[in-house]
Amino acid sequence: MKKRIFPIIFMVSLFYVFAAGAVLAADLVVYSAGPKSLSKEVVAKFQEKTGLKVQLYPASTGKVLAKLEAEKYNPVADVVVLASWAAGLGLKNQNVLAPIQTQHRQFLRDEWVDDHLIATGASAMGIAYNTKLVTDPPKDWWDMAAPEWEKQINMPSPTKSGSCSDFVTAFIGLYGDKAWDFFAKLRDNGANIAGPNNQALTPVLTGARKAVFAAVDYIIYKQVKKGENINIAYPASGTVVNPRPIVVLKSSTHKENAQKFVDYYLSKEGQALVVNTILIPARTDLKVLPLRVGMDQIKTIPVDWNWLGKNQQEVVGRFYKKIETGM
Amino acid sequence: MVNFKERRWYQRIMNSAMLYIVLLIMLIMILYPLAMVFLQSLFPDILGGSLKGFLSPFIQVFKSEGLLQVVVNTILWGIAVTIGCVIVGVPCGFILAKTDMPGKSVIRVIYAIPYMSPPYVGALAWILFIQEKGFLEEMLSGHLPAFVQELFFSFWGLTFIMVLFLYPFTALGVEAGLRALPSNFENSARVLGANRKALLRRIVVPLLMPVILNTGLLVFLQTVSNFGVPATLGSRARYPIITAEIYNLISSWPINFPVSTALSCILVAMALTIMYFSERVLKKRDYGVISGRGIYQVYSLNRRQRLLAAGFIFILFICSVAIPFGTMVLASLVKLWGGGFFNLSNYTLQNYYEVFGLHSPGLQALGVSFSLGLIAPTIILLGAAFISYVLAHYKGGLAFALNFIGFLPRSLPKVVVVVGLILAWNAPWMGIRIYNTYFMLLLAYIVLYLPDALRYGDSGMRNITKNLENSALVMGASKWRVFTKIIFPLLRPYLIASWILSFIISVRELVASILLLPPGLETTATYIFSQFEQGGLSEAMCMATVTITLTVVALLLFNLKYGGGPVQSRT
Repeated sequence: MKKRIFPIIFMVSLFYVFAAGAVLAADLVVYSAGPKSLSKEVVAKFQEKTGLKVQLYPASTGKVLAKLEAEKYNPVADVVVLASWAAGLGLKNQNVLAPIQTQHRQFLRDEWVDDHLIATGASAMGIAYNTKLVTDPPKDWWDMAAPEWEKQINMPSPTKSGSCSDFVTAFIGLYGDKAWDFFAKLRDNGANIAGPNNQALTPVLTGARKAVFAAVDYIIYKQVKKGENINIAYPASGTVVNPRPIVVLKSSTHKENAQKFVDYYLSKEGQALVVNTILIPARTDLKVLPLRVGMDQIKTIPVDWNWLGKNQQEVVGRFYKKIETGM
Repeated sequence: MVNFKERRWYQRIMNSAMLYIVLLIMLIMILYPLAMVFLQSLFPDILGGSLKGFLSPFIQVFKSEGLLQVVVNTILWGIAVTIGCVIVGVPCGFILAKTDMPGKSVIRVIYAIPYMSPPYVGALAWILFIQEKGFLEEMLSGHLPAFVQELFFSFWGLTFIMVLFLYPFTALGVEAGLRALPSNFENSARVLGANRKALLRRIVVPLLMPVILNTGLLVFLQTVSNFGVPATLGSRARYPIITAEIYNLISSWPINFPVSTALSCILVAMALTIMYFSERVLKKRDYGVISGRGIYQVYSLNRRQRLLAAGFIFILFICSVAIPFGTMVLASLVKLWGGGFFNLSNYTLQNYYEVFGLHSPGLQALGVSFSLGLIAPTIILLGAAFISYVLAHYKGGLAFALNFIGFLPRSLPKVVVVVGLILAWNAPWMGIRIYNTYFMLLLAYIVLYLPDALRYGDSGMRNITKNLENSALVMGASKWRVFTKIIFPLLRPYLIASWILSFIISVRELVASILLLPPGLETTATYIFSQFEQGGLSEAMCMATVTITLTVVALLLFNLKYGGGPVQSRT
């Protein structure tokens, strides 16, 4: 009996090795930030339609960027979807992106198309609040460091959340030192700045905290749809709408498949999935769900995306050190 | 004459061939990655093929107040945990070895459970227990004084959790040390008129000092090498510690590999210093005491002392078993967070169906971990058998060095070894592209757990008499035949023991999985981690409950079969 154990273990191991080998042979490798459900759905439908085998790595923008950086000398990904336009521009400045085009160009907003990146959709930032605990919706960003919000605020970390990193960089780009002082005040007032979007949100859903500063709106709408006691307020002084870019890496060995994927994402079918995730679609011929507000109803602050693309990494790094860890 | 010489030369090559194969394995698997860590810390752009910026990562560490603070934090934490473990573990060991306390087997189980569990799970469960709207707050119906949370999510909470999971180390060490003390000293002292207090103070404690010192050093090493607790509780407590900072530096954008390697080198320096002192303490330990004699003095406790001891053990039980594992199981069953924990209708098995349903990510993660848990130990087993056989046959510098290198990953923090593997296998010159695939994870597991198997293989080889082998050789058997027909079968019990251990550790391995995870894969530990981070608390705890139950049951069965104290296994 005992002698049989090792051959069996070997057989099982071999089986697993082959199974793993099968996973490795993919026609396209996609790293995608943003809602996991969306990227999985788009990939699944795309595979169904084209018969191509896609290997998907879904993670937060910060994780995806870190992985890309770590693989600088050995790139694996073909297509990357980020939740931060500035991070996309950052990649472009690093000269690692291939030029990109799409057959759906005519349906897209001009400001969401660049020669190296195209938006797949967009989200806006706001202040999410627990409607059971907060009867008077928050009015503006700057009010959130008031004593009444002591230990009641959560904020996602810009090192993890792409949309939050766009927001923080744009905010600091516009207001400078005033913004730095404000974030320090926010932190000293007991705001908890950590983790990706969902980690910041969970305590507000359970009622442990009252509000999320710099919440991505589509996540909040998703919870509203579920019937949770939560809502989002767009601050009076204006907010940031951040397009979520899709890019193709210069090093990609599957450029043709990558092009197919980009086109699929921007097709009516692909964009319908974006709409259903309660994001703002990239195509102008599709409407947002009635649940959420559209582009025209959101007041934005002026954003110099080129400045963001150049400075985001430094600003976020400084934010992590100075504000988050307080070092 | 010439012919004879040539044969000897030829034989020598054949003989050493095996040693050189081992050398090659060690070079590629262990030395090359570690050298990469060291080199990148010196030359930050070495992967880009440039030697510019010599030492700049270290300069950055020592110039940036934040990073230097991280190093100081880590040392302070290590010291605090060590002191805590001595305070908790020494009485525990004393009760077990030197008193007539009833129910010792129960006490052993109480400390075996945290000993065998990965501390990160304990930290997560404790977070759920203490945090706002957590179990404790509801138990006190909202009247939880704010300072409790403040205290927990701080340096003290980190220390507390780590002590809970490491005190068994000290306790086991002290127990073994006390048992090895022969009664002669105590008897002589008593004959000379020493009372109990003097006996303890003048005889037992001094004789025990080396043991306490040594376990203390090991606890310190375990603490500063630990990744799970700093990564979970440390970030919430805003108390950065080296291991977690290394992880942040290479996984959170904007990343900085050079500084992470500099921090790694500092951590390695700490580990090696500790190992050095530990060796010295062990050498000095011999006080002319003949150790290992079974006769030793037992003190009988009076009623009050028994109650005191029982209370002490009970508190330990509550803190290190009941609260974390109770919270873990309850949280895995909760239907709605904030729906009340004392409301029976708020409990459901639905979470388990969702986490482990067909084609669910949870089941896939479990599958990946199990496949790694089966393949890695099998390869380790074969490798360890071969390496220990070869190393047992050679004396001299090279064999000694290889022995040292083989055990090196055991004493180095895992996170450092993993950073080295990333650098080594993701380098532009690396022809074999296994980085970012399942095989990278497999390789990491093998490198990390080979030393444990080597230890077993080594002790196995010591027990195999050379005569068997020599007889076979005289009869004309080839070396290979000797290995497969004699050595391997004899080593088998040791190897199986090590196989089971590596299996258990692999199934819940955290550090390598989280840093090397290829796209599209998850392991149990990364599943727990990411679910917790994303707010899927119940899902995380479901997975934790299943893996902990599986591995603890496996370990208990293993201990029943192979005897010996609970075997150490940490992630």
